[in-house]
Amino acid sequence: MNEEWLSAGLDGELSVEEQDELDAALASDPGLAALFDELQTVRSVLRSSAVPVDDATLRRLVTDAEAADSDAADAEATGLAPLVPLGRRRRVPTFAAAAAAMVIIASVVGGLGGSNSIPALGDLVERHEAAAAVIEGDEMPDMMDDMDPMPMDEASDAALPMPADYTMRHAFVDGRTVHLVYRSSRGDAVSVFRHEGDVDVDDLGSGSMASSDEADMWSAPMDGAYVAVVDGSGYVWIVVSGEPHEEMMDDMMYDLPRRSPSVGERLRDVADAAVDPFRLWD
Amino acid sequence: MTGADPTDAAGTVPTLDEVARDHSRFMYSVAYRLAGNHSDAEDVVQESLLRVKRGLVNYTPGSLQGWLARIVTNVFLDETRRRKRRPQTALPDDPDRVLAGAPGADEASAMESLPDHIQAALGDLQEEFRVAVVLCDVAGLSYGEIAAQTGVPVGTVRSRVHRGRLKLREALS
Repeated sequence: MNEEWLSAGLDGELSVEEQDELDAALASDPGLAALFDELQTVRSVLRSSAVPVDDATLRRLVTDAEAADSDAADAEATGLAPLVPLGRRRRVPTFAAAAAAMVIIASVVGGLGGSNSIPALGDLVERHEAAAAVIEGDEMPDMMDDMDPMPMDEASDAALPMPADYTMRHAFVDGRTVHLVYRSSRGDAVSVFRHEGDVDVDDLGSGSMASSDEADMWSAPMDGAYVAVVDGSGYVWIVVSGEPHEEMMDDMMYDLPRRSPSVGERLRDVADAAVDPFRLWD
Repeated sequence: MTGADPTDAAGTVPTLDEVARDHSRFMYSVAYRLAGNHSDAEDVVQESLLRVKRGLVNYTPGSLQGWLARIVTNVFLDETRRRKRRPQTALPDDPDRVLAGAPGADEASAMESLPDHIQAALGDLQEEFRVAVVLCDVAGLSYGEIAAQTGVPVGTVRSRVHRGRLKLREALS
């Protein structure tokens, strides 16, 4: 026998023969019997310990979950961001959300590109437009089954208007990612970051996925537009549109160094430096 | 802690209200033992309840608490992975968390009976050991169920449960 049999015996996970062998060992080895007793105590403590949570907290969690599910259902009804289980990502693409996102991304990136001489942006625009075309076309027939595709012009109408007056407000690197944050005069925000390694869209949380050969699109059921495009090069574009999300963006990006001193040491804020942040990606 | 496993012998699928009424405390216990703090446990439970609601349509009557424990654990592991990849979301920078208010009377009373040193020792365990111990001793899953949940052989589960308990034994001694 080996020592692991002690725990297995406590849990009733041994065969009859193994249990007999364990019983014999415990009877002849006081040290082993003492360890067995201690493990039994650990097991009993864990099984009998209460977790301090009151009924009001539990009721609130249930209420919040139901409200969140209701919000998701409302979002699904709009065609903007229907939910799919996380484990099924890449299986249930959503054309309308993908098209709307691509329109948003293209318009935002186009706006940025118009005021910046940064070749990488143009490349990304082409990539995203190509991805949108793939999603719209016949190259992904499994995606189009059982769907009522939204025409691109209609998707454009569904997307929130994105002014082309975005300016870069903040940029930093944290060793793993490069974050660039743009804001418009009306409070919309675009965040672009790039991981050194592959980007797993599960990082982005619960939401819907649409995929093509060149890009993954993820959208979250929020009040407004909140979409992200993960392209094949590891760039992640997040578009947050609308005033309700300003606080969230602040949490995500702007105040990170101030709010997180321990991480701030690893950050290199280039917002006020004469550095082309895109060159950080080279 | 685990209580009776409400295996649904009648073959009926519970409603979300029934799950919430009868098992939300169980879900919270698993989440708290895994996460180690109330803020994260609440997040895990809320997301788990969402998944339960969406999953009930496909739920096959059986070990309900086993199913719920798997959902809670998956949510916890998803969140853990997400935080590892996006470190800014894992930072203790939320003032509400850093400067938590005093617990209410009920919670303070309950906390008196909580073995903090065991919870702390649980939190110090490597994730794979903590998950194995919590699923075994808090959720009451069998080694086979834990193996299916975590995608490792039963022998590995046996080893992880034992090694986890050995670490916790040191905290008790």
